[in-house]
Formats: sequence, structure tokens, C-alpha cells
Amino acid sequence: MAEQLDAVDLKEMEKIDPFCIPPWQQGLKAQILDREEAQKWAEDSNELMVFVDASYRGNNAGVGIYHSVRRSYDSLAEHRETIRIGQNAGYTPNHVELIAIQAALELISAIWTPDTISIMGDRAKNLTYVIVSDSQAAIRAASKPSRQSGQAVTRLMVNTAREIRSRGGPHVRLQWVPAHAMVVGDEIADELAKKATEGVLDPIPGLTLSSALKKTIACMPKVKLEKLINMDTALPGKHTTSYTINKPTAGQQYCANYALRNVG
Amino acid sequence: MSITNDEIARCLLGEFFKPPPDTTEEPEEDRLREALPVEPLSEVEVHRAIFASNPYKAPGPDDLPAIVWQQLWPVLKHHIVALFRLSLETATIPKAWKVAKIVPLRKPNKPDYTAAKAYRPISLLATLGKNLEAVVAERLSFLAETHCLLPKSHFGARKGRSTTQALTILQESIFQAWRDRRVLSLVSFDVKGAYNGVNIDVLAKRIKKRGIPNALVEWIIGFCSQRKASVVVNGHVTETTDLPQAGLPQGSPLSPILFLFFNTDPVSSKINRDKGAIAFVDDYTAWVTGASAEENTNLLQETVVAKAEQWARRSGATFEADKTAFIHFTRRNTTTSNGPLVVNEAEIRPQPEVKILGVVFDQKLRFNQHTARAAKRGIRAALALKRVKGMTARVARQLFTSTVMPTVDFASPIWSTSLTGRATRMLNQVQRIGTQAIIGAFRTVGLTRAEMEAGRPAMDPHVQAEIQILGQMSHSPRKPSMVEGTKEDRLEEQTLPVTAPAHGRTTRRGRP
Repeated sequence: MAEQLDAVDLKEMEKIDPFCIPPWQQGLKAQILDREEAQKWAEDSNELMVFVDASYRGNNAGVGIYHSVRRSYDSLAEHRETIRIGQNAGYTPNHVELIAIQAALELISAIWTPDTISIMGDRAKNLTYVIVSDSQAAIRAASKPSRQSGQAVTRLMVNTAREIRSRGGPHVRLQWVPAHAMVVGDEIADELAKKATEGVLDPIPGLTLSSALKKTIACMPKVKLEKLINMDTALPGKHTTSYTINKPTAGQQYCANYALRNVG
Repeated sequence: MSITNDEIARCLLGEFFKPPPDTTEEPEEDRLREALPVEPLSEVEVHRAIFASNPYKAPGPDDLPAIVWQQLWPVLKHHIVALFRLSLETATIPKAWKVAKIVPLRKPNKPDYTAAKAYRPISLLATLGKNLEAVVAERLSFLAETHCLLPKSHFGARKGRSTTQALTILQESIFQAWRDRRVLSLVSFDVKGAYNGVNIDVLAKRIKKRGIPNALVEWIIGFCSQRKASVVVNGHVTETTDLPQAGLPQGSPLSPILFLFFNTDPVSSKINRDKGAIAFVDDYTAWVTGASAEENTNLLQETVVAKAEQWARRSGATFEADKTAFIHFTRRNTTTSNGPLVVNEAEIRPQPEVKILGVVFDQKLRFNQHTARAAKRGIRAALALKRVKGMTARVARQLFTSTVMPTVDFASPIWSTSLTGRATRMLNQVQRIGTQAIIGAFRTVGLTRAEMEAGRPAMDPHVQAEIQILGQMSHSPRKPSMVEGTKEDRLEEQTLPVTAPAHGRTTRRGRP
């Protein structure tokens, strides 16, 4: 337990604002279909798709992006990208999914620079990019930003999409496809993401998500309960009470210090 | 002799909407900041407001519940948005949205039901109008949070803040005072008839001062003035009558946030080692620390009470004398005193325990009374659950967690620090009855076994509280990061108590 908490830097706790975006602004457009329908959409659709996937293993965070454009019947322009984000114990898989979507938005932003837009003219305005992810949670968070963990990335996403739009660039939509359902683009993105988290990554400082911390802490009563289940009530109380984790006294700063030093 | 329903209605209206006392003129001050820009109304926020409202809640005089607007949204959306936009641009509100239907409900356990005081007026408003009010409330809230227009000590009716946070700050201040070998004395006021007593002109000046755009201020004045109401007596709806001094309308989503702007002045005070304040909509609590209780009483009289009375005079509000609470927090009997505090020409003696935001604080912060009350409430609720027969275990368990537990674990991070063995046994009694209700176990079954079978985590607020507190840390009141912090942006600079490391004598209880 103490190790788990030690790995989380409580001082770098994420900050959650009362509002993610102003109430009159909208989140990203998103579409979440049924499993079968989504799979069918992925096979049939010929929209401009950017597949993203995230990987978070052993505190390593990485993102894979796969984007292909059909040039003619037999040639395909492909873009494969593997982003090794780094090592941070204070992330959650869901947060890395959010980062993956943001990475895709940045890719679109890099393609549609003001120069390209001026060459393409009005055609850019009528294009729609579909960012395809297999994480429903991340898509929901991006379409309805609120007071939630990972809020900073969600805000960045909405702002990037607005920025692309304001310079006359394409629309962006999010679309969900089921994971591991033989959707080609998603499988490639998945592989790329896995490659991103191989080996040892450089640690990235800062930011512990409140969701990550909650998850760590939420394990604690369960541990206690499991121990109790293994023991019969006939045992003397001292065996069972020894698993009680003491609650630190009130006060936020104090809590953080207390948890770092004493829990375990 | 019989009394007609109309007479009863007139009498009730007279009682519920008393003409407020005169106000001394609010001094014309400079704006604290420039007016903020207004963004045009968008469809998203109207959609959000309409779908956030409870679909079958009691409707107002037009008898249209919110579900009507939700179902008709695809057809009506352009009309609704156009109507709302027009209302905001011209700062006018349709008359039909300003008529309230007032239903007096009996308050429980009152000796005399012929007095108007024994009834709680519930004010029902037109649902479409309420949606526009919700949109404006959301915008006000956004402006307030991103530009720091409200003091940090406000905890009610604000996003991402809770009573537990407010109480945590108070509790931490008390422990801090004790570590410094001081006494903390606290006084808590309750504004009488809060919403009805708001003077519109004063409110308008105050929100303008804080930088709310002029168009919005105009709209709010229109929203508060020329309101009408009808009363439901014995199932009979009376004629609508004018309410000349209605203040902020009860039942409107806009009222809480406007009231926060109304009472910012007494509330804005720094929280540090010497003093502090927390406010929860109409409930205002302030404290000072000092070497002895007498010293604190004098200090409170001169600073906090004087400031609050001055505010009350200026804004035409009054404090409820019998709800004013006064207490000294100390564990040394020698340092306490019995000297009274004078509020509104009434003497208020220090009490051995006071209820602050729903938690009973006693002088020594042992929370025995509070845990006893919580357990009693919980046992009553659990027994009621047990009486319901024929439920599946799953339903019973869901009911237990959603109805019985909240009566027990309210603000548990505050009081669970000082749980004694006796209190724990009482709380476990709730769990025992609850598990019996869920799985139908015999009374002699061991609690741990029963808990396991019923799928209930152990009734251990120690553990639960820790999760809550650490979960809340990220939400603790700070400056929002959306606006880059310039000096002018901060209307008041405040610091939260920075706590000393865990060496205080007072906090050593309950640790291994």
C-alpha cells in the first residue's frame, strides 16, 4: 500500500476547475453506435479517418496513430505514428486515451496549416475528419466536458478543434469502434501504441490525476475486507483491527503529507 | 364562524412576504472591475438546461411539466432559443413566467397549525421560464468562477464545493488554534427570510460592482420586479395578487447564485490563524482565535458582529436571533467563559454545542452528540427499511445504500476522527439492522459474516472518510486556471489554512 501511494506524487495533484469550457461552448461532436453498427460503419465508411489508440503498461504511457488516405484504386497514402509519452504513475489508461485523441487533433492541425488551407480554398471547410477511438469513456468526456479527471486535456482538445475550424480548416468528429473486432485501422493503431510503451521510458514530471489517486485509495477498504473474509470472526479482534487504516485528521495539505509518510 | 379560502390566502401571503425594513442607501462605489463581455446565447446551453431539469417535477401555473419541453425539443428548439435570445437582448421577461403558484406545506411537529409559521411555502414557477433562469445562473456561475468574483469562503450553491470542505476548513482551524494554545470562538448567523428580504436595487448595485455585464444586470432587475403569486388553500387556487416586495423568487434556479453576490461583503474575509469565515448561502459563520474566551468575545463583538450588523442595515436584512449560535472551542475548562454577545440588542450566551451546516460541534470537538444523533437517525431509517417486506436482496441493498446510509454518513470525514468505541457500536447497530433487512439473517448472525453476505463494506467511517477527503483534495478551493492570473483579477486575496505537520497533541487520538 505504502509503495502504491509513494509512487503517486500527491504534491502534483491535478487541479479541477469548476468549469471545463464556457457554458455557451460545445464539446467535440461524437458518435457512439451499437457494437454491430459501429463495426459495419468502420468497414463501409469512406470518410477521412484517423485511428488512435493508447497504451498504458507499467506506468509507461504511449500513443499510436494511423491515418490513411486513398489516392486512387491501388495506392494508399499512409501515416503511422508512435508517440512515446513517458513514464508517470499518476496516469490512468483512460487519460492516455484522451491524450491519444489530442495527438490526432494536433496531427490534423499540422496537416491543415494556414498555407495548405489557402491553397485548398473552400474545399478544406467542407471536409470532415473522423477520429476513431475504441474508448467510449474518452469520447464521452470529449463531447461533454465537465468537472472530471483529465479535464485539462479535454479543454485542450476542444480548443484545438475550435482553432482548426477558425482558420478555415476541416470539421472534426469522434467515432467509437469496438476494440479487438478486426477493424483494420484500429488494430494497426493498437500495435503502434503497444510499440510506444516497450522498454523504459523517460519519466515525465508533474500531474497526478485525481482519478488515479482515487483508484489507489479505493483499493484499501477492499484489502481490509478480503483479509476479514479470510479470517473467521472467531479470531480475536486484534488480528482484524490491525488492518484498519487510520484516517488522517482533516485538512488538505496535512492529508497529503500524512498519506505519504504514514499510510501502509 | 367560517373563514373563506381567500382570507386564509391573504393572511398567508402577508406572513410569507413581509415588507422588508428600510435600507440605508448603499454607497455608490466604483466598480471593482470592468464589465465583462457578453457572449450570444447558444443552442447548447439551452439544450443542457432543458434536459437537466427533472421531467416530472411539479409544474407552475401553466401546468406544463419539464417533460413537455424535453419531448418537443426537436420541433420547438429554434423557437425556444429565439424567445430566450429576445428576452435576454431586450431585458424583458414574459409576464407568465413571473407568476408563482404558492403551496403551503405543513412543517412536521408543530404545536399550532393555525399559525402561518407552521407552514413552509413552496413556490412553483413556469418550467420554460425556469430553463432560461438556469441558463443565466450557469453563465453567472461561470463568470464568478473564472474571474474570481465571489469570495473563497462561499461554499453553498457553487460548483465543485461542498459542506464537507467548509467544515474541514473550520475543523482544521480549530486544531490549529489548539496547537497554538489558543481558544477559537465562533458565531454563526442565519439571515431571516433570506430570499424574500433581498432589496433589488441593492442587489443590482452589488452585481454591477463585481463586473456582471450591464445587459445581464438589466435582465435580472426585470426578473425580480413585478412578480405575482397565487396561493393554493384547501385545493382551491386563489386569484393572483401582486407582490410589491418579493425579493428573489423562491424556487428559481437563479436565486441561490444571486444571493451569493448579495452577501459577499461580510463574507469576504481572509482565513488565517487569527480569524476566518465560511458561508453557505444564507448561513454565515465567522470565528476568531485568542488566548482566552473573554478576549475572543470582545473581539467578535467589535469586528464580526459589528460588520454583520452594518451589512444587515445597509442591505435591509435581519438576522434570526434564536438561530444565532455562539460557542468557544477549547478542551481546557479554565479558559472558557460565560460572557454574552449582543446581536440585534439581544444577549446571546455561549452554548455547549452548536449545529453548523448540519453537524453538531461541541466545545471539545468530541462529536459524541453528533454520532449519537447520526446513529439514531440511521437506526430509525434502517428499521423502516426492515419493515418493508418482499424485496429482493438487491433492491433492499440498493435502498440501504441510497436512503439509510446518507442519513448516517453526512460529513463523516469531519466527525469520524473522534469515534469512540461506544459510538462505533451504535453505528454498527445500523449496519446490523440493515444487513438483516437485506439478506433476512437471524439476529444472532455475526456482523462480519452478515456484512459479507449482504455485500456491504464494513461500517467503518475511518476508511470511508479517508477516500472522501483524498478525493476532494483536488477540488479544494483555489483559483481556477482558465484565466491567467493577473493582480486585477483577484478581488480578494485569501489563503487557506496551511497546516502544521502531524505533531499536535490534539490530533494524536485514534492513531496507533
